[in-house]
Amino acid sequence: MTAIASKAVQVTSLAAIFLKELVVSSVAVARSVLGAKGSSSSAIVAVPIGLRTAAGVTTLANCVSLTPGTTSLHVSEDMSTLYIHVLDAPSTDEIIASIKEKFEARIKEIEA
Amino acid sequence: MTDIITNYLTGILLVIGAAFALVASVGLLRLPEFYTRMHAASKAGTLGACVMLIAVAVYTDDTAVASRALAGVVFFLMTAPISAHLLAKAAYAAGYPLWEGSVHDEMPPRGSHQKE
Amino acid sequence: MNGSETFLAGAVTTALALLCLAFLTTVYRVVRGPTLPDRIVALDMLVAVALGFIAVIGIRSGITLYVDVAIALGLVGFLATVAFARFVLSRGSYREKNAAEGETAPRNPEVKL
Repeated sequence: MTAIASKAVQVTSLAAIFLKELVVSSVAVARSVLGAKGSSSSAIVAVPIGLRTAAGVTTLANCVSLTPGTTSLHVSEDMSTLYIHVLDAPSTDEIIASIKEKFEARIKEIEA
Repeated sequence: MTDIITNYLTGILLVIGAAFALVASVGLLRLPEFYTRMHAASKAGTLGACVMLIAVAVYTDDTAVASRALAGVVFFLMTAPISAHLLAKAAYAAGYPLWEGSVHDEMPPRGSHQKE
Repeated sequence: MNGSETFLAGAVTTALALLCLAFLTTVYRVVRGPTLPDRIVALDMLVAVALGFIAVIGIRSGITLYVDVAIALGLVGFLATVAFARFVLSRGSYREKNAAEGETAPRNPEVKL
């Protein structure tokens, strides 16, 4: 029973973070749209992921698509790499770290 | 009293949603190529439509209508990234190039990544 | 008509004006292109703008049945985009048609969606 309760808490916190990120991301897109032209340097970045289930990868890809400056492009067949398109990529390591910390860790907890 | 709060909240949400829709369409106009335009449409556009549906949910007195509006919001939030992903993947597989401002492309060349 | 109703009426008018501008800019992108995916993204965006119009008109007229219309339109828009993505894939390579790179691009029948 407590297992179900803690899982529910984890799912709720993921949903809350997701909604917050959606708003932040829309504001970021608005800023980059209305800002100076040519300031964005887009890129395709490979993000290594360690999720076991297809549902987990789907959730991660959906979350990534609705968060600041990133859209998922492709998942490798063995579900080990997620390719994302980044609107403004000064540092790829930073982006990979933020995805891992914000979403992947939480999805892993829910999967377990 | 509740009516007054509802009216103000609905009005504010409507204007915010419409502003996000406008930002998304300006993004479609100004951003340099397809992949970056997709960012604007799939984030700001989705949020704009969702906020306006939430405004309907706030405005109505009928629980059935409010729950249907919120169901619409959830549905839209779930499908928007999927359609963006499919479209981007199809465009990439068909060989539409990234613009010259792109700094790098870590995705394996077209054709090889499908058979890993 | 009290203050809050006046505010709501003003907000509805403002929202309609903003949505009209958004609609026109998006239509410009549909017409202008320059590539097929650009047009598809703009069409997807048009669906979102139409959802906004439906929400505003639903509030303005008080006819809540418009919410069902919005849900149906959202579903149709999603399916249309998925079908268009399939079409982009099945139409084949962009490079093959547009650049004389001499690259023999496969038509990608094995791409799984």
